[in-house]
Amino acid sequence: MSAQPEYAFSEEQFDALREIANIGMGKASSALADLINTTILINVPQAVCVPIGNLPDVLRDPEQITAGIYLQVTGDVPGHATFIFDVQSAHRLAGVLLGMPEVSLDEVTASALMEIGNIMLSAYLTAISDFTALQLLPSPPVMAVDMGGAILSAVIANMRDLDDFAVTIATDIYDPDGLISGTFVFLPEPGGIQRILQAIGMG
Amino acid sequence: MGVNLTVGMGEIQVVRGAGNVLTALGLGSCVGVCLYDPLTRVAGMVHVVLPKSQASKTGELPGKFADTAIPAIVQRMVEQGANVSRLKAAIAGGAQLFQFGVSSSLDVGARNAEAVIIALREAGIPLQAKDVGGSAGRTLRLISDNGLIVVRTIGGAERELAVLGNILASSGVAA
Repeated sequence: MSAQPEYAFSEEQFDALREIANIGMGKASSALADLINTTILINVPQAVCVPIGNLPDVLRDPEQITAGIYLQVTGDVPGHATFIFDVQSAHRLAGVLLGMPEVSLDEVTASALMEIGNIMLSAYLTAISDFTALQLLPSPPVMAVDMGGAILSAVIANMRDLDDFAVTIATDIYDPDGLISGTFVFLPEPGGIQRILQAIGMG
Repeated sequence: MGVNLTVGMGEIQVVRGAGNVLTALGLGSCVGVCLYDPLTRVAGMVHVVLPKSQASKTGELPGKFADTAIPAIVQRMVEQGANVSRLKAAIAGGAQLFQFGVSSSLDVGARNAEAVIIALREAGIPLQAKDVGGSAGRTLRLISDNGLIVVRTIGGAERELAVLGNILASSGVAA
């Protein structure tokens, strides 16, 4: 159980979390860019503590059909990482990776997308590990195609220690041509944020 | 004036009178529970996330867990003038969304639906209709005029699940 409610974090601490998320997403987006040979941009990460009921609001449209790649994070900062791409983006990503212009979302494209999630999350976690000297490890990915809000709620229901509030670190990723857009959401288990902040001397 | 309220994870919303709409967007493994009293038109919805509460914790949202959500929403509805003996229920959700690369430990949806059904039985509230399980997320809507329950899944049209406010049927009067 967390010693203090996580929503008691100061604005400076949230700024530090945004900066760390920025470092991680920078690596994750360049890993994706290398993989599909396209420029990938990221927005300034959001780091907020919200009632769990408001969590799907980090998505622009929680009812939009998306492909969600979900990986658990183990180690010093256990948590839940989800890449949520709109379905058109998911098709394009899988198509580029498989060298096919048109793909449908079947087992083969799902495994391609899960591999993309795996590569991006590994890059993200490695960057944060290097910065904080904490150990963060990805678990094998799973994937669903459904409303973004439904995917996010299924991820939240999988938290081991579900508080009424949750710290969410969310970053939008996109390419300049508007062909690929998605959101990366990291939900640390309660207590994980303290460990990150302590590691960088802001605990 | 009627209101249109969204019921987020772990939340309970209760309204009274016609013209109100309660909505749970994108239920994945969560279960949305609709309760309705046809006479007073007190309508309630709770967005259940997990089957069982963790007793060690304080200050929890009761709506998060099936075992605490049902007593909590019934109490809120009684405070608004509903009578427990008239309440009827419909539920939707409890899907297993992750279809690719999945282990069965992720199937909290089935356990959620089961826990909600047990909690409703313990509260003595008849379950008129359910749309649970499967692999698709759902959006659930309750219209307070007559207790109409509609469910939408991706790639599908909104469809009617039940009308909880069918007073004639519920009171045994011949139509």
